[in-house]
Amino acid sequence: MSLNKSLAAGALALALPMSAMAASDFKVNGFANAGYTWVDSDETYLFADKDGSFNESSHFGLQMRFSPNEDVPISFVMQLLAKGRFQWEVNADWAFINWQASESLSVNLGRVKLPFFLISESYDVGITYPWILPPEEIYGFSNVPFTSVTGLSLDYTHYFDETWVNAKFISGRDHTTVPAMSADIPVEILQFFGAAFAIGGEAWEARLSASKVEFSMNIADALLALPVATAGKDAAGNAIVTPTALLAMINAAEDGDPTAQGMIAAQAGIGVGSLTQGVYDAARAEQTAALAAGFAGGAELEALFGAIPNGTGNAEFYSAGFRYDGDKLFFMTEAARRSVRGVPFPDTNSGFFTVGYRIDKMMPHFTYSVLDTEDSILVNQTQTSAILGLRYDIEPWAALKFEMQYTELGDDNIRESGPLMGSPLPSTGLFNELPDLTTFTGDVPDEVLKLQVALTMVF
Amino acid sequence: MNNKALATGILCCLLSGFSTAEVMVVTHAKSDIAAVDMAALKKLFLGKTAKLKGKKVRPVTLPDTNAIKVEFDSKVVGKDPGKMKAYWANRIFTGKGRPLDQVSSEEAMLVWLSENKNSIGYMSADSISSKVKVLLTIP
Repeated sequence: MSLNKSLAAGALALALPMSAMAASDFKVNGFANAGYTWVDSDETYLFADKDGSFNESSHFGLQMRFSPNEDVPISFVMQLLAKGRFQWEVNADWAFINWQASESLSVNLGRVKLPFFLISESYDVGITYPWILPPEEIYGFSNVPFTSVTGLSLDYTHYFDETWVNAKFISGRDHTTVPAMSADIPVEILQFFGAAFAIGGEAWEARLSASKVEFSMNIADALLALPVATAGKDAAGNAIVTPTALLAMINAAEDGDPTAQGMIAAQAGIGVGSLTQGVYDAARAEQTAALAAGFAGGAELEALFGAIPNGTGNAEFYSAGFRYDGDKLFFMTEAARRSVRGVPFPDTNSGFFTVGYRIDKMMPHFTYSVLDTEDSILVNQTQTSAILGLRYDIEPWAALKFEMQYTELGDDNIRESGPLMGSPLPSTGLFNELPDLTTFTGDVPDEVLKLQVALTMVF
Repeated sequence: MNNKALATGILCCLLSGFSTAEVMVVTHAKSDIAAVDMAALKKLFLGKTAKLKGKKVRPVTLPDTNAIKVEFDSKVVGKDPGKMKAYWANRIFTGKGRPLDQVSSEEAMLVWLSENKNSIGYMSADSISSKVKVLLTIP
């Protein structure tokens, strides 16, 4: 939990004893998904494989809202969220102080969820949409690897008789980790700016959004710190150490530790002395080679890993969406563009449409969803999905959902830069989102069938 | 009442889904609130405003499946229970304002309204007592 999150939690805790005051207000609400996912593949697609998974679409959220005094338009809001996808680790996706400056203007200070796309903010609240989870091609974390920032957000809504307009601005920073290639890569969000404009009526909403994020992530170091990397051997059969461990060892050797001095002397080409960039680079190259040696196509992997920069990057997100949710008919469509610079993650174009029709408590629905990745040296996730689903409303607060999804991976990309420029990069779709590097081969099926069932609740 | 009239009555009831009960919109007996119209009620119970004629009011509701709430939401807000729940879930969990106050029954509604002068709620005609003032009758 970051400092800012702790501060917000602290503010909430401080506010609680005041609940004895007259006219204070404390409300607790929550939501939950309990789902089971099965895919017809040995390779892990998203978070499930042939053995099935209870984790992919299961999560639990609890929200507390405290307003200390009816006459002061200040509230404290905290939403704790635990997901099966992330080992049920509890995170505060929302933790903010709200100031209702006027009937129209709301100011939030603290951690808020990012409004990248039309329903990004309610991504986890299953009762509000037909699918088990919103289409992964656009809403999945491969497209948006972080979902919250800590900072300031302004929300302006004006209600006319039947229609309304909304404008939203967010600026903030954050620390997070992006799980990619079986490493938790620490990411520092240096600066985030986002804006969204929406107009809507009783049953419809149209929305445009744009966001810009500047971040720094040390991908190469994170990959080289993996157990599979640290267990590598050099050509002479000596164990490889990570650059970080090497630094510690050099320090110990300089302090006169004979074991450390001996171990360092045993590393070919690395003498006892201060850690220079050259020593670090040599260790990194050696390790990369050892890591790559364990895989089919190791040379290719080595070239790729060697090309991964440590440092800052930036990304822009744009989206346009429309939703109609009438008495019978449900229709939603959205198109999004992500462009990334500075790190070897691809640009993406994504989009979907969904049509549903309510028949009493049932709503059958159909979705066609596309993810097209381009301009990457490392990963191609191009794929299309067709999803047939049924939502059954058991109670106003509970729904049972069934889904059958067929996904086809897209064509090869041609690498436009990097050491392997001009060579084809086959699509791995959303397979191996969190690959185990000890088994990952990059050799995945061309298509996948996915079956899901989930119970969603709100309370 | 002859059999034909009875049958017609039953048929009417069936056709209208039994939703013939009147809903009384009520407030504290000595509240400053004098009147309210359907459009203002709709905005209040959708959380789009917390004011009535410039004065702060707190709408109070009944549980999701309470027959009077279902009736009120259908006639005033134009949403069925599922739609209403989804609407509020979306607002609550995306930081768009506080949930409405909720009481467990019409009896609890009477108690709540008698203790909160700026609250506005609803109940069936049978539950009305001297503790509350009727602002509007929704047929």
